[in-house]
Amino acid sequence: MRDTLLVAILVIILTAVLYKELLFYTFDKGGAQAVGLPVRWLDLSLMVLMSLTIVASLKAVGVILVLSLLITPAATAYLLVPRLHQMMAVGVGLGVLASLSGLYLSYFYNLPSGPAIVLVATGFFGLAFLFSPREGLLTQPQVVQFVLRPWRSRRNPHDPERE
Amino acid sequence: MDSLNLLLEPLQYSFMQRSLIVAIAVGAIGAIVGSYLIVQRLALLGDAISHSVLPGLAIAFWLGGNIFIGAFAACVVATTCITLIHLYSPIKEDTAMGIVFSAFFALGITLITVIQKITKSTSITSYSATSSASPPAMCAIRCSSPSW
Repeated sequence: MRDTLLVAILVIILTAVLYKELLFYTFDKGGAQAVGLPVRWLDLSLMVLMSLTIVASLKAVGVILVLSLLITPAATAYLLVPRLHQMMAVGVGLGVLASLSGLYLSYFYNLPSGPAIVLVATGFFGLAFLFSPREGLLTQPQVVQFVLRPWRSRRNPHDPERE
Repeated sequence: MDSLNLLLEPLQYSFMQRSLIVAIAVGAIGAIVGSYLIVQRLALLGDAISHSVLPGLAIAFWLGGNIFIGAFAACVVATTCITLIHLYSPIKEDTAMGIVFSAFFALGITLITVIQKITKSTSITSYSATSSASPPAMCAIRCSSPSW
């Protein structure tokens, strides 16, 4: 546990220090190189950050399911908010919520804890996919219409919307 | 009040306290690093890296060192290999990832088999079981470890 916490603190400090550089590098590699940022080192630091994260979460959820904790909360946040720092904040909230509720589920229903955490995180993603105010499948009227149009035209051959 | 008690009940066990702390830490840093990976379209790099951890774990177990350090070293070597292949040949990044991660996984399994033969007395059933994790976390790893 001590090792995990140590690695977690290290990751947070590294991200805080390198935030601006990594942001620039992530969205505009050519620009970052032209401005004179050490692109190779930034790439390496991102890899090191990822390795540290994986190593820290290895014990908690296992080798395969690490991927879910890396990607699913961040992807859920990607559906909810437009900017990278907001995405990080929302992602952290969702990740913590998912791992806590997954652990409680595994305690009360005698489930394996890693898969429980992953399933809760995936459930959050499904909710965001359907009901996100910006990108949700069911919250955007034009998407619903687009999906329903073939149905309507099939039922009514003289539908003016058919073309 | 009743539901509060239900939430507080697991907290009396020290193993549950520990796993809750670890869960919070892991959930937080996963999302921070994952945001960069997603916007860079490197999401599956995480999968590749987590598989290439295996030889590091095996060697660390063999030498009796810290499992964390072995895993981290294997990660760094794997990413360096991927970047080298990507930079110095016309092969694209995803192909390089596929090559390196399957090679590392194979190397890890081979090493574990060899080490198991060498140290017959302390047989390891699964590479993840060698870590000194707390009982529930250990159970999680066992359940989620790949069934090779």
